[in-house]
This record gives sequence, C-alpha cells and structure tokens, in this order.
Amino acid sequence: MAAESETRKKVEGFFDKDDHTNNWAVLVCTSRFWFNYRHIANTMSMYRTVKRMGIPDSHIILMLADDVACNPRNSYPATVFDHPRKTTDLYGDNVEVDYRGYEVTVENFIRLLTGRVSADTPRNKRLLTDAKSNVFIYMTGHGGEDFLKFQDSEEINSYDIANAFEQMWEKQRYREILFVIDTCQANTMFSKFYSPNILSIGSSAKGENSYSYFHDYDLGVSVIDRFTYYNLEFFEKVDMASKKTMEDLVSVYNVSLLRSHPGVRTDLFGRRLADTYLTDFFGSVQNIELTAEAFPIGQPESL
Amino acid sequence: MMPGQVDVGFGSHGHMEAMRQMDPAMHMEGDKRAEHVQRVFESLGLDCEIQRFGSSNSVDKGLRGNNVHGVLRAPRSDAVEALVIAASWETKNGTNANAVRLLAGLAKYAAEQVYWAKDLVFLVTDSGERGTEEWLRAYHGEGGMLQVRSGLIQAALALDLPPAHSYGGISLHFEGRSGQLPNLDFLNIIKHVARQERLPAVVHALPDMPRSSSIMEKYLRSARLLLRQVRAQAVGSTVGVHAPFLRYGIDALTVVGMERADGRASNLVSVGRTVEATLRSLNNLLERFHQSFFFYLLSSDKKFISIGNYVPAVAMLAAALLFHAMHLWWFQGPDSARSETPGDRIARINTYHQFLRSSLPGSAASFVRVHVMGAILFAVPFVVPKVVLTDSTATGYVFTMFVASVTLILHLADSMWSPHMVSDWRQLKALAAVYVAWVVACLSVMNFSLAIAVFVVAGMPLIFTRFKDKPSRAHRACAVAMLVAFSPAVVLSAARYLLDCEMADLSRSLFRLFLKDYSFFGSAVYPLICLVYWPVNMLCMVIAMMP
Repeated sequence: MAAESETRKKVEGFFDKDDHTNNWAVLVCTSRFWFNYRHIANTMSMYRTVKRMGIPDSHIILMLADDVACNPRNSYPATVFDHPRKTTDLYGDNVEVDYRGYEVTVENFIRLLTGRVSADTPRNKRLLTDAKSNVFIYMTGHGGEDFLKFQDSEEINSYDIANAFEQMWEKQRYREILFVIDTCQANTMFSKFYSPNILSIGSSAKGENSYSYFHDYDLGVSVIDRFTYYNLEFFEKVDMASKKTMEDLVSVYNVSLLRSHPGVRTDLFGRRLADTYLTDFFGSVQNIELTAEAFPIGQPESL
Repeated sequence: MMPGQVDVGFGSHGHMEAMRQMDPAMHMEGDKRAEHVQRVFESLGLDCEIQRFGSSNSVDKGLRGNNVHGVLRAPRSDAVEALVIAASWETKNGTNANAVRLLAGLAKYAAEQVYWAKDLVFLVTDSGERGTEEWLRAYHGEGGMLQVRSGLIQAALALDLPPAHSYGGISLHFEGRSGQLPNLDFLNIIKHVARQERLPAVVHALPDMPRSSSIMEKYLRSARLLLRQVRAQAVGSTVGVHAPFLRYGIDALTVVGMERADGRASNLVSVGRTVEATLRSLNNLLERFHQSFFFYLLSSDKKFISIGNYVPAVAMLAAALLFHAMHLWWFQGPDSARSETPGDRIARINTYHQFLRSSLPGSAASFVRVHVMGAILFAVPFVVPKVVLTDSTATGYVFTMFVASVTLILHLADSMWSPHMVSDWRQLKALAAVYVAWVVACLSVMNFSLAIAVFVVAGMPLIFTRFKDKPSRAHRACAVAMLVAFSPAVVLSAARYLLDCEMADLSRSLFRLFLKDYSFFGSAVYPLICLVYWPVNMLCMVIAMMP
C-alpha cells in the first residue's frame, strides 16, 4: 500500500507541476492592401519561426488579412520575402492560413480567443487550448493609442483584448500568455490587461511610431518592420533546444536601432524573465522527466 | 501611392528598338499612319483598334481623324481598371512624334513586366483634344462602342514632347475644359519621380526661380503662376490632350517636355523613366484617388492654396454686390416714400407700393429684352449656315455691336413713347447686382476662376456704372466709354493677346473658339458670354443712359 501511495504521489506530482503541456501560437496580421506588404511579411516571418521552433501547424492559428503573394502587383508571384536579398520565401510550399482576407475581423479574433465559435467551425479555426496551454499571440498592423486597425474598416481596442484575456482566464483557456505586438503606439495596447500570467511586449511607446526596416526596390514596398526584424535576428540564432530566456530576448532591444521604445510589461507575469525560457512560448517542448526506475503504466494491482 | 520607391527599368536596347519602329509613321498621313501605329502596337503584343471619326456638327463640319489604341492586358489581374497613356500627333508645340515614339518604347517595356494590376491603354490620336474626346465617347459607349475595351479608366497621362533631342525639364498642365482639376496627388507623384530622374517638373511652363532670388521675385512668380491657372481654369481653351478625360471624372494631366539647349539636359529616356515610375505608382492606386485635394490653386511648384482659403474671396465679392443692391433698393423711388415725418406711415407705404407697381414691369422688360438679345446671339451660329457666318474675326463683334445698338434704341424709344411709365435707375441696378451676385455665387462652387472672371468683366463695371441721380453728360459719356471697354467685343479682342495663341484654333476669333468649345466639349464660357455677360453689359448701358 505504501508503494502504491508513493507511486500515486509521484504521478500526481508529475502532473501537478505547474508547467505547461502544450503550446499554441496566434499570429495576426490585420492590414489589407499591397502597400502593407510588410505586415504580412512580419506575420509570415513569425509563422516560420514558431514552426521552426517546433509548434505544429495544428497549434498555429494564422490570420492574414490580405494575400500579397497573389497580388497582381507582386513582381515575384506567389512569394513573400522579408528581406531584399530574397533568400527565404516565407510563403514556401507548406503554409496553412487559417483565417484569410475578410475573415480577419475583430469579432472572429475575439471569438477565437474566447472559444465562443459557432458549432460548425472547423478545428483549424479554433483555439483548442486548456489550463495547461502557453499561448503566444503576435499582432501587427496599423494602430494608435489603445487601438489596432483591422482591415481598414474596424478596430479592436485595448479593453477588448484585456476583457477577452480575462474571459480566457476564467474559462481556463491558458496557463500563460506571451502577447507581442508590432504597431505604432503598441505599448498602449497591453496597458489595460488585468488577468494573471500575461507577459506583454510592444514595439513602441505611446506617441511613437513603429518604423519599417528594409525597403525593396524591386517590389516597391517595405518588406519588414524594425521591431519584428530585430526579434527575428535574435531568433535565427536559437533553436528548439535553446536555453535562452526571455531576459536574453528583451536585452537585445536597442532603442537607437528600433527608433522607438519597446515596452515589456511583467507585473501580471508570475515568473522572472530570467527564469522563463524562450521555448516556453516559442517552441513546443514538452516536459520530460527522467526517473531512475521504470515507471509502470497500467493497473495498480499488477504491481 | 508610394511614388519613386521602385527601381525603373526603361531604356534598354529593346525599348529603343521599339521606338525606332514608329519612325516610318512620321512621314505618313491619315489612315496609313494609323495603320502603321496599329502594326507596331500589335507587334508588341497589344490588343489594337483603329477608330475613324468624322464630325457631323454644324460648327466644324468636315473634321476627320483616326484614333489608334492598344490595350496591354494586366497579366494577373481582372480587366476592371485601366490607365491611359495618350499622345496626339499634332499639338500646339508642333509635331509630337517623340511622344508617339516614346509610347511604343513604353509599350514594349510594359509588356515585359508582370506586376500590372491594371490594364494599360496606349492611345495615339491625330487631332488632339477632339480625337481624345471622340475616343472617350466611344469608349464609354456614346455613339458606337469600341470593340477593344478595358475597364474603368482611373488615370490618364498625356505626353506632349516638342521635337528635340533633349529636354531640360517637364511642365505639367492639368486644368480641364470647365476648370476641373485632377487630384493633387497625381501632380505630386509626377513631381516626385521627375525629381529622381533629375528632370525638374514645373507647373505651366513657368521656370523655377533660383534659390538666391529675392522675396519680391518669388512673390511675382507666384502671382504669375496663379494668374496662369486662373486663366486656364476660367477659359479652358488652352489646355492639352488630357482635358477631355477630366470631364469623365478621370484624373488626367499633360506632361509637356521643355527644351533647353544650355546646361544639363536629359534625353527622351529620362522622360520615359519618369512616365514609367509614374505608372508604377499609379499601379498602386486602390479604386481611385482620394487622399489629397481636388480643389486647389498652386502658388508655387510645391505649395498650394486649398479651396477653404480661396472660396471666401469670391463669396465676399458676391456679398459686396448684394449689399450694394440692398443699398440701392432702399433709396429707389420718390423721396416721399422715405419721409421721416411720423404719422404719414400709411401714405408712405402707399407711395412706395405705387412706385413699385408702376416701375417693376419696366425693369423686368429691360431684363427680358437684353436676355432675348443674348439668346438670339447664342442661337445664331447653330441656325445660320457656316458659309454665311465665316470664320472672320470681325463677324461676331460687328454682330454684337449691331444688336447692342438696336437694344439701346429700342429702350430709348420706349421711354419716349410711354411717358407715364415710371422708372428708376436704382431699381434696375439693384436687380442687375442681385443677378450678377447670384451668377458669381453659383459659379464659384463649380469653377472659382470663371466666377472671378465673370465678376471682373460684368460685376465690376456694373458697380461703377452710375452713382448719381442726375449725372452730367460727361459722366454718362465716361460710363458708356468704360462699358464699351468692358464689353464682350473689346474684352475678347484684348484677351486674344493674353492667351497662348500658338494653337491653330486660336488664330481665329475667341468668340468662335468658345463656340466650338461649347458645341463640342460642353464648355460653359460661350453660354455665359451670350446669356449673362453680354446682357449684363447692355443692361449697364441702359442704366447709364436712363434719365
């Protein structure tokens, strides 16, 4: 009996550990139109990164408000590049866009987060998270103080997102959230959050613009934003085995290079940044606990 | 619109070769020339059609011409939107062969690209604005549809390159026939990309001032620039091939190459590259121009005056006339109607009404009479065969003066034969002032410059026509002399020297020119002269002569 209770303790101890068991990523580009190429490229770059770090397509919700790859103005049809060198085609041959074009609306986004989708919504358009999910949410587009424009026709405000997160928390739809936003006056967007376990990073302070980085003179558009570019520059050097922490990521932000003041909000987040691995959000790394003795699975009686 | 954010590619050997293909057409005429242009366009892969048109209008019978257009289909887009690049063989700067050659080169270049979101339509016409107008009518289905069509035209760029090996800059002309303007963004795009090609772009061919010039010189240049715009907007007769597009709500302008022998000059390729970069920027257009201003006056190449700032000026002019009219209306009639003695209020009102009853019909009759005369003048060219009413300058004026004299005589006879009729010059002047104020105010919302012009030629003389009850003979003579100086006959003769008269059309009388503009382009100047300006001028003469 003693052995059994010890086993149970062990098992419970393993599952009780306050760790996440699954990772999700929600990547949102809210801008339409050819001249917003860079926002699509931002999002596609992030998509490529989280996929490379191990999050499968089934756990990535990719929302793209426009299709620049197939825009007639694109002189490189069916491609999206984030660098004028054009070495990496972000569009590739394995891209799963879950919400596209006019499906990218404020309503759909909030429904996705809170899980209040209609019964006939396919699985790829649902955020099937639970209380053990770490969710990475990346948003980019044109924004202002306390709002982010969707589709040139509507906008989401910071209160909407804050309330949606609170609802997610109440419904046990996440364990931790990493909220990253690249837009003008981005830091205002997470200023209204009040739910626990949310780490937020924004590209620019209130009253500041977020600027683009590369301009491509073949395409005639800018292909990436500064904040996303410098994030990616950091990520390109890490892989899913990396022990880099959020502290390392935040420390590379350079105000003179970004030309804006990125913001990091940690007061809602339970852990220290130095203790938070990048892979907690960006990779799909499951906790594997190695035990000295074999752990039997099956009927306790057979012990 | 993102102007100038792409690398330009025009100028390769192949493009030059395509331009040379057009050369034989320069020595051809009429149908053969059109067919050659068609052959060249077709060899470049464009869908082509020749439109042959002839005039059936009584005003300019016998005018014939050919339009050739080629449509380059956007490779990966639906054909719902189009951009037009147009050139006419003949312009007021002489032959425009360079522009037609450049069109062939640009067509060659454009056909090599994959990024067009809109169809490109290359249009070569052989009778300037007339040809463009005929083409636009057919394109929009008026009087027979073109077979080779594309989508909605969003913007049009006309090229006018006088024969030269090199150009020192380009000049932008953008006013429409009735003062319509393209969106200011269009101008800004061209200025921006031209600067990148080191091809200075100026407005209305007014050379830029050196940086060191004094404030006074800059001020004078601004004034000249504004005057040129007001002239072009008000008269609308010296504009380029782009003008008909504006009537169809299509943003359009003409790029005129400016020759410069000295200093740094650029060849045709720079102009081509400027057009290429402009097209590339227009290609980014979504639905239509909407960002910038549609009503503006440019005070320099880089500065503009918005409608909110200049419309109050013309509103104040109209208001001045209205106040003048109110003042006159108050002082009309016998003095007894304005007696200040208390107690005789009823008698005063009765006197006043008596006066109005007996004087208003006379004033109204004067009004109607001058307008009937105006209407006759207006209708004559459409009724009388062209052979009778020749193109000679004098005809219109002689006719005008004749009718004017008849009216005056009629009026004087009127007042002699019916002595019981009461009349007061103040009443007539007040009514005329209200009338002019009304016309100016209405025009100001459509065509600011024309409103100003009407005020200057009709409103201003009216104000100065008469101040006193019993003017001396000298006063009357002065007034009449002033009115003659401001009469349509004199003003139109003088204006000939103010307008750019290089165009073949302009060697004839302005009266006939406006008549043609009206009959073909629907310009408002001719009806305004016949139905407002001239009647008001006659009315002023009547006021000056009244007892």
